[in-house]
Amino acid sequence: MHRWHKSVVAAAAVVGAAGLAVALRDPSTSDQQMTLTAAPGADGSNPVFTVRGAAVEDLYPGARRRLVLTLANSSSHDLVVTGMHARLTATSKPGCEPVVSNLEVGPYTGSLPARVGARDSREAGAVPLHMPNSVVDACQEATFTVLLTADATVAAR
Amino acid sequence: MRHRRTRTGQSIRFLRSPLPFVGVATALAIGTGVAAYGDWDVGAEEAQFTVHAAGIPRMKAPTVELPGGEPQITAEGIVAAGPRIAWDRVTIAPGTPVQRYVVTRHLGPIAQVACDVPATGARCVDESAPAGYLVTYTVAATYGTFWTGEPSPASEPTLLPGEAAPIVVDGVVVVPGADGSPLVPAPGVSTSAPGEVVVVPQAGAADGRGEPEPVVSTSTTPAPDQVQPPPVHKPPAPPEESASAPDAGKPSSGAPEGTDKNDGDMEKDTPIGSAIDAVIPG
Repeated sequence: MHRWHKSVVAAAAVVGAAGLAVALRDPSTSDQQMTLTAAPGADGSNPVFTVRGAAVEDLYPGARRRLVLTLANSSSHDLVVTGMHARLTATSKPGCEPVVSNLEVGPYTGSLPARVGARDSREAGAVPLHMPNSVVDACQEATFTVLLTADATVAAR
Repeated sequence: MRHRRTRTGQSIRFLRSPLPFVGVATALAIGTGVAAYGDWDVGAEEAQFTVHAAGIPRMKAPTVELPGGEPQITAEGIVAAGPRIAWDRVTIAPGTPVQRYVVTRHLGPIAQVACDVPATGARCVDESAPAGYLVTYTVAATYGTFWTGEPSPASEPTLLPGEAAPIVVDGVVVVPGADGSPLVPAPGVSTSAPGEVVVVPQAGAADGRGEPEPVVSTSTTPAPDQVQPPPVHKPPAPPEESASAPDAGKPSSGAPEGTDKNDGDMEKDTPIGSAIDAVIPG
């Protein structure tokens, strides 16, 4: 009976995955995060997983920085991150195009899959950034938007 | 009772049948299978993160100091060991100085690079300052190949020593006004009679942006083309930071080594378009 219950929970969780939503904080804040929220499961749980990105400031020609990511798992389920992808999508200034000659966004550097235990958090790699010398003058004081895609699963209990 | 026994016997026989056990086992297998392998996909979501570029700050107005002693004027009408321009250093990021400073001399509407020096210094000497003219200077910091800061406000106007003579700067004739203010006659007008020519006022350069005011002319002669901007000087690319050490490789001085002469605190100007083309004999 207990096993059946677990299977029902798992099935409900699979259905609940369709109800995931992403809640974003104000992108202008220095500490940014991506929140993955699942619909409540059959056991009443409401898992929330958060990916935080440390603030990155002061990019200038030749500078290298890292967008350090931290995973926080507030649910009672272990989280397994299986993929993390980043790409440059926009800038805040006209004349400063979101192209690699202005800012290079490297592939995610970190060990995958990364398991984050229930109600735990851990640093989970980074996205390298490099502003090449070819960056145009219009990119001074620009804000670059990096789109991050996370692939993860909730590990079964 | 018999009937009951019979039913009991049927139940027992049913339980002894492998069918229900197979069904339960199958159900349990499915259930545990889901539990064991039915990981819950929470991925394929996107989120935006923002990172910020630095900017070169606008510098304060430079100060100008004339050389002491008897002024020396060259045969070309240039103040020998000309005015010394000084400024406050700036950084592009905490602990990271800019790489170069570009000082611009403003002769009315005409802007010319007076000094282009590495950021190791905070002063330079304008070696091409025309004698007898009222000049102002602005300074801007640069970093990398393309990044240039907004020019500073203009320095206090400085009347250079010596007797002013009409000069040609980048093909533009400049004549001295009564107070040393540079005047640019309209084309086709004799420079020997500056009081009679239509001139371009120099107010446009006073704000340090180097944008001349439109030519005000009562003549039907077309206004001269706008003054050519100072030639573009591309400094060498800044050093790349090490990938393994994000903050490593920053230039300690902000200037690439071996690319410029550095005589210490005082920087000599780089002769890039700063020279006066000619002095027109009076």
